[in-house]
Amino acid sequence: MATDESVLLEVRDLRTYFHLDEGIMKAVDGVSFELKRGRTLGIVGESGCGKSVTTLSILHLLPAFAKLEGDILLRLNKGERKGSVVNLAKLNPRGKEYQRIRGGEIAMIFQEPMKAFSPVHTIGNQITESIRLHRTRDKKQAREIATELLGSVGISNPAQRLNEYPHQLSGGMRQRAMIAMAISGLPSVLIADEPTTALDVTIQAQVLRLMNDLKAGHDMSVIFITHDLGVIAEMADDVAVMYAGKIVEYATVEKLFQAPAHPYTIALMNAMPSMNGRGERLASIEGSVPILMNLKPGCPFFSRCGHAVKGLCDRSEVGLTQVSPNHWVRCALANQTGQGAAI
Amino acid sequence: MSRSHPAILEIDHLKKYYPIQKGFLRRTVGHVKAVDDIRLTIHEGETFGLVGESGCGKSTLGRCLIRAVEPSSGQVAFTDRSGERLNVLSLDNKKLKKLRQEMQMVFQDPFSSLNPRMTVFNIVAEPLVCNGIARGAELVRRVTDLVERVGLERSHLNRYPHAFSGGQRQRIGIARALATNPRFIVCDEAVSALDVSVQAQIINLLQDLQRSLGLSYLFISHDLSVIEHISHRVGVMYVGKMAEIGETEALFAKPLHPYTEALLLSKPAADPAKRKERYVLSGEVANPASPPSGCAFHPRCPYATERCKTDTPALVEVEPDRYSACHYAGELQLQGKRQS
Repeated sequence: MATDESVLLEVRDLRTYFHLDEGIMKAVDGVSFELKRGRTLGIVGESGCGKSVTTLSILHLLPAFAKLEGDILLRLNKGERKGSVVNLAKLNPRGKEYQRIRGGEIAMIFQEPMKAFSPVHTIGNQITESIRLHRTRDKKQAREIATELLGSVGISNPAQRLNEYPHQLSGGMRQRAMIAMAISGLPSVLIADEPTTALDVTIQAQVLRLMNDLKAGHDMSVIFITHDLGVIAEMADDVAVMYAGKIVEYATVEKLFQAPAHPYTIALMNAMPSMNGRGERLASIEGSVPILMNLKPGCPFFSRCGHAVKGLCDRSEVGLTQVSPNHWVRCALANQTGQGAAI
Repeated sequence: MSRSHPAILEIDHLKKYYPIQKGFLRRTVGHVKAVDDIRLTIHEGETFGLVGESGCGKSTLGRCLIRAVEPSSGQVAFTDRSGERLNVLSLDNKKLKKLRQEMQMVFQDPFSSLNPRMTVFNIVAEPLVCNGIARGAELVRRVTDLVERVGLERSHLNRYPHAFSGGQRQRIGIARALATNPRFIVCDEAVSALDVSVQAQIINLLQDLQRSLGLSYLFISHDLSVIEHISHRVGVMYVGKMAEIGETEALFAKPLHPYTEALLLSKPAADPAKRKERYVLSGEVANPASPPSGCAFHPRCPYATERCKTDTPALVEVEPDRYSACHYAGELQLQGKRQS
């Protein structure tokens, strides 16, 4: 990464383990990816696959019983050390440096703005707090910037909205305000964790368009987490499919949808009602996502996979195989011809 | 499916208005028209899909039908097993309890719809005990049958809900709904909280049960692809009113209401090549407490004219079996679903 200037963020062999009374839960188990300037990386997977914990690990917003290993390399985009690379995994999570990075270099949008905003402070107070931390100390100027930001995310009458509390805004407006707050520190990386899942489909379309406009206008790179393959197709440039704490497939969005290679990705696509004829039986995946504790060796999808080979898939850990340029699959059956598990 | 089968449920001018009360004297200053003048027929063995955005009244409509919510006015006629046509809204409590054996409900959130202090056996047995349908060995036999029918195991009976995953809990909820041998089930966002792979299992289960037991469903969802997959006919609701009703295939291929078109085109297609065609509808869902004048959709509608601001369109049959509440239903050339 030190040489490739276009890589903003590189995660190498990230392992976030939760040390619980019942045992060690491997929420994120050896995740690696890179985010290039101006691109959107989509992370897709079902609940409990570790996609949220991955991004929370980047900002180190983890509970005390979580242990983090691996490297999280960020190329700083401002300040005196602009252009140099820091390893977030080695930083003190409570230190000044990390505080500057949260919001200033990497910002985050959450799924439920009602929970992410403080209910007892006005929208204006919460946005100006972030502006005063990262941009200016002047109160009046911060308020002007906040008004301008609210206007830029499509909130009408922004000066008045600044004085309102989160509950006074509709769900779509709240998410817009959340986005305004996230970009207020002029971050170079924006992490969006299921930002449109709680929204209606017509409002979702508005917010997705807004995010793309802002990404282009502010020169940001985006990590977009969702369980919805439709949203991934709409937003992402590169996609990481996660299952049981691991990336099982990593490809450009075109490749992923044209030639999905991991049996889990294929099964997930086939299970979508829109991929099936009306009234036909859906190709469901039997069983459910394993609990990430005391996992058996081998592929975690083994018990649900229609192509699993006993003695091969359940023996040892499966590594990532490159099946074609920009396309990696974590499947023991993947061959080098790009046909994945020959499905 | 539509006209060849006898009707099981006929809804006529159904309304549910919630009063808005203000001030010390709690004076009524207006109404939230959650369900506003709905007319609808559901046939035997049919799945009627009800789709709309949050707050459009689709859940209230579903609850009104089984009188979990008391409607303000209107008629709901249910044809029971013996062929007798009952007026659901005028039944007394005793008759209503009997009728509810034939009308059941499956809820959205499998975490809050099951009592955490009851075992699976007690949850599924409760409707049978309450209605005096079975007891003793017969009760055990029936509960075991039900649980196996929805794909759970006998060994699960003595466990509590927390021991199950979301999909399994939804199966428990379905077993409970099936206990009284119903003919009509309201599925209120029954698969919305589930992951795609598990959602597919539950949809398959609901369809299998429909085939083997001849059930009729009112399937409420905000997810268009689920609605398209499972429904025979679809109703699209907007701010308490029905915008469009039609057979699923025809409605998705060629909508007759601009709101249906907007819903279909807003949904992201699972195909990166289709990205450029993104369609974005402006504005937000209207507030049902003070809906816009005329057609409630007119402030967001790209085709709206002066007439739409003043005249409220009625739901009329535009083509055979196709109903639309738009003044220009036959004239507009609206786009159907994006192919993916």
